[in-house]
Amino acid sequence: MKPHHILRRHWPALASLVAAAALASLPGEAARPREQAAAPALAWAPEPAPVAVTAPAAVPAANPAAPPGAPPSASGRIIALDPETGQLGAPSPEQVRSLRAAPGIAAVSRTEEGLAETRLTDGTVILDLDGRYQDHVLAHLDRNGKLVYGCVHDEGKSQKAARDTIPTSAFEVE
Amino acid sequence: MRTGFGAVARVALLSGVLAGSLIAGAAGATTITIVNLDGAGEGFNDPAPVAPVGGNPGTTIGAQRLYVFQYAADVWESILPSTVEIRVQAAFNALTCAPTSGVLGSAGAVSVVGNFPTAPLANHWYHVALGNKLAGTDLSANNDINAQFNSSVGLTGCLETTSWYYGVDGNAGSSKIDLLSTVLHELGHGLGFSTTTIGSTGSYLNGIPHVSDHFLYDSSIGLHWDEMSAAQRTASAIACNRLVWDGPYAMQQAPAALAARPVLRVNSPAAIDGDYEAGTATFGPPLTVTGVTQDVVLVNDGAGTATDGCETLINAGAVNGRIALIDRGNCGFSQKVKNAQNAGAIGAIIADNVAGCPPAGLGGVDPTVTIPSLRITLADGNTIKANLPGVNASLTRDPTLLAGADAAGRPKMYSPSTFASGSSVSHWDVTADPDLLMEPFATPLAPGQVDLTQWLFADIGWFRGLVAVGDPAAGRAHLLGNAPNPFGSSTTIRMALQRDGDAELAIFDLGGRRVASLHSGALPAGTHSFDWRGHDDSGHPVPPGIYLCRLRAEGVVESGRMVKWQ
Repeated sequence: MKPHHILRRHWPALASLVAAAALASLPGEAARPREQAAAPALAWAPEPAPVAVTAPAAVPAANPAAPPGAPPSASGRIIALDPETGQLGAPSPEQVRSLRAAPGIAAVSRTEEGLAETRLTDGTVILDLDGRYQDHVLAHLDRNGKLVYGCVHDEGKSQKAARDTIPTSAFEVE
Repeated sequence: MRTGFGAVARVALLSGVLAGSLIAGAAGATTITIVNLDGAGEGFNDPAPVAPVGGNPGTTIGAQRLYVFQYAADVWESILPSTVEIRVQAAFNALTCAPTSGVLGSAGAVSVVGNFPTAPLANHWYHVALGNKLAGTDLSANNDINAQFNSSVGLTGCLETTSWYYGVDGNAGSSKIDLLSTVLHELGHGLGFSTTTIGSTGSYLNGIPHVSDHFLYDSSIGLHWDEMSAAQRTASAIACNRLVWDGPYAMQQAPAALAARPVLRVNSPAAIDGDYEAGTATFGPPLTVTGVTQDVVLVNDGAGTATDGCETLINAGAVNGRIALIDRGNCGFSQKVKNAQNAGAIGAIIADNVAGCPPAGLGGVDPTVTIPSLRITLADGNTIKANLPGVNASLTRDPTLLAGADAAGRPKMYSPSTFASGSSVSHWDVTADPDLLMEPFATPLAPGQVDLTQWLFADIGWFRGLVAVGDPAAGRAHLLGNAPNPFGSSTTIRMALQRDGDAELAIFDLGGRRVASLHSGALPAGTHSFDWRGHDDSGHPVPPGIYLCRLRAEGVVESGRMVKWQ
């Protein structure tokens, strides 16, 4: 496999290009104007006030595609402390398994079921997350005495499934 | 070892055309309020006396906790502009805990909002703090971010062998948990560095994509997450190297934030030549653009898994002067590389022993290791082994590519081939080098480091309403901010004048006292840069904290916040 060979030879000199030129070459941009994809400014200064959206599209009341109990979007941070080296880094897969299995992972539901949606007269929609969609910071000493700590989403009913997922770690020591 | 190699040259290259970190100058009015939910005598109000630590002047546990939270808030305040107060409801409570495991805390947005009249994108969710900023008004009567941390850590029955570190100098050491970086990271999620779309199923929250989905881009199918089907999003989340962030600000700033990409470059045979993705080591010398080049030899230690390099090599004659190829497993990475070094190797390649991508880094410590090393995937390792002998390779960095970005310069998002709930999608990729605040796996960072993360925030709208000085709408002098920010030993402050004239640039503390004068006198029209090494006018270093840089020119006064962390 030569995953980067061709790409390397075709690397654009991004540093010397204005962002507009770079953006113009991005796949997908031409097909669909993207409101926030304007070229970055060289510096900050006031711009005209945003144009008000007079007739915002309605927000669906529910998502039929999202099954109850489905895990949320992922975001979190994991840190491993290796007592032998004293180095902070990412956990090994084994440490991650321990972390996922640790008691104390919050069982707070992350489903969207029952979330209260408020609609204002100007079209604004506010969805109270009811304490869900939080990043939970956990710590666990595994059977080898290694401390694994970090932040993961609470996973509710999907906790077991999550235990079986093993992210590739950044700084395993072995 | 992860270093800033390459970044300096790139910053210099860009300094003439890019704004650098403009953010301090733009964000002076932001207020992030820590709403202390703790009762008397507990949490933030814990009266237990402690000695000041690591730049934290608090003399009680409660005061130190509050100082760390406020410090983290100050860092974000100094970066993110909003005229609407951001309220973080926070508490330290006794959370679920046991001697060997426990919840340290949690944080996130209280609510999300969409379709407010000034929303840049209709039918997209925004974290409420960002929605408020864009709307210019408080859309929700509630607070904006939740934050709750465990007050029992280190006490009997709760993770007894460790404790929180309340210093703000990044010196948590090996046995304590750095509260500041944890709070900074978690507040980052609460401020919007997160999609509410479910990566494992591809489902939108209540059928609506998040603004982040507008910039999550799968380079293989040429679609963003808000353009895909759920099945496409699910596939994209585990695509490994395909999921990138194509927001213009993050792309523009990536060359300043990321170093040259570490690669294993196979020079021959022609059948497999090319660059292979590589993870870097925390020990030994850093990879360089010059690199080391030699034939590759598979090690043999004559015991157990003979290619794991855990014992003294018995094929030292073949390894001497060559690059050693070693299988992962059975002992530490540094030990393997040291054994190769003892056999005379000039470099070492660790091939993973489990499938997956991207290749992780090599952790460990051994100051006696003097040869460079890197890590490749199992698949790439097998490719090389299948062509031995006769493989010639270089351990190097490619200055035309960025570590943590694709070939088009788009920063990669973490999307390993196995979905990692809690890590995938809503973090930068682990191949970013230097490390970034919003990577899923924390590694030691400069205290208060915000890095490329601030530019992702620019993409999702945190700096909407702020454009180019060169724009006709500007027409006056401007403070362009400082970089790096936060900073340690020095920072560069940039300013732009529209016409020739007098200008004054000075540093003040939060008490309004002038700390240092950087310039006073005539300057020509154009952009100017001034370095501040964190010293007062007497040449004495000033203590860590928040400082204001103030520009007075062309009849206007403009100031911005800077964070000095050491």
